[in-house]
Amino acid sequence: MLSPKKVKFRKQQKGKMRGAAYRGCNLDFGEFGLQAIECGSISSKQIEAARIAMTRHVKRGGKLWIKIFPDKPFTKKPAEVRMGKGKGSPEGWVAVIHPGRVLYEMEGVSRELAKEALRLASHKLSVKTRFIERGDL
Amino acid sequence: MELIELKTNIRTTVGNGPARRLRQTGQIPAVLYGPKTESVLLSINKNDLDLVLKKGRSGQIILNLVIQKNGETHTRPAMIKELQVHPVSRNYLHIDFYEIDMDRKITVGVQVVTTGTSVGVERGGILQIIRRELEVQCLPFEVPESIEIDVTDLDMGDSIHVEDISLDGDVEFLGDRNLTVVTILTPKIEEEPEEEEEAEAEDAEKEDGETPEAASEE
Repeated sequence: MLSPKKVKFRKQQKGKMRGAAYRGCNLDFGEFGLQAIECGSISSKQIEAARIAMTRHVKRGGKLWIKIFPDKPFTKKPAEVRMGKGKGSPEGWVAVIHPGRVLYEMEGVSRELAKEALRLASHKLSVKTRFIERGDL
Repeated sequence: MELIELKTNIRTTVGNGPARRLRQTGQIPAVLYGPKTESVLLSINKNDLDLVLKKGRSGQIILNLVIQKNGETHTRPAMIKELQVHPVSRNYLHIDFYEIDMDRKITVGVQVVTTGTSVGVERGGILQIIRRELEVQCLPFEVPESIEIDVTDLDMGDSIHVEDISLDGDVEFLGDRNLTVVTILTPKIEEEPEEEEEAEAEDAEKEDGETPEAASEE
């Protein structure tokens, strides 16, 4: 699963997710892509699950690009622990997603195959997405 | 390449609020600038722009801007330098027009198009277009619509570089000549899912086995 090799600070504040993604909102590498249309956080587990869903559907051929990276840690308190006594321990990593962000790109497969693969991937993610292709933009 | 006429109006307002109000009326804020002219604030009808963009790629179209000001009309040759689009709705936000001199060479990005089916793809390889646009320098009327690359002879692992492409007329490439444009990749075969599932099942069994011991220790 994707995670940073080294970070300066172990824990981060939650922050806000305002506005749209003006960077990373175009197809840079592939012919087809999956674009987020709402904001949210996507965990490293979801990114990996979506990747596996796509590669299994495509089987062979085709090239896939993952255009997001989970660089924000999230924390969790242990079960049956009272509130307070400090912030919980880091549990995993998420990528913060703004509307418009292209999450995955694909090339070397037919339009139908890419659309179905990206549809399967979208079911693994926690944000609403849409299928985009070169020429739409 | 022909000149496409586009009607524009002079815009007097600036800033976010007036620009939003302008967009609500079906107009798009724009600006015209160039090396020898002062910048002019303009607005364009959205439908007119849609019609123009259907005729070619935004960076390659040569326009004849008809500017209407106080009952007088001026025409200026220009190209679209930048077209800002909203990332989600894909509505046009703003356009930059760059005034061009018809006798002076300009730098344009031209689309790369592949023709034919390569030997490598027939053998299971993947055609990857690494550079979809190449920068060329030429006179405004000599801008090629696209750069066609024949990939029929490419086998797996083969690639075409900028230096291998020949252009017609007085058109020359800018930048590094050693850049790869198209390549045929060898496909990666995904591991069989059964093996992964088996491994996952084994892990789960181990975890189940460990849980009671851990619980007893606690």
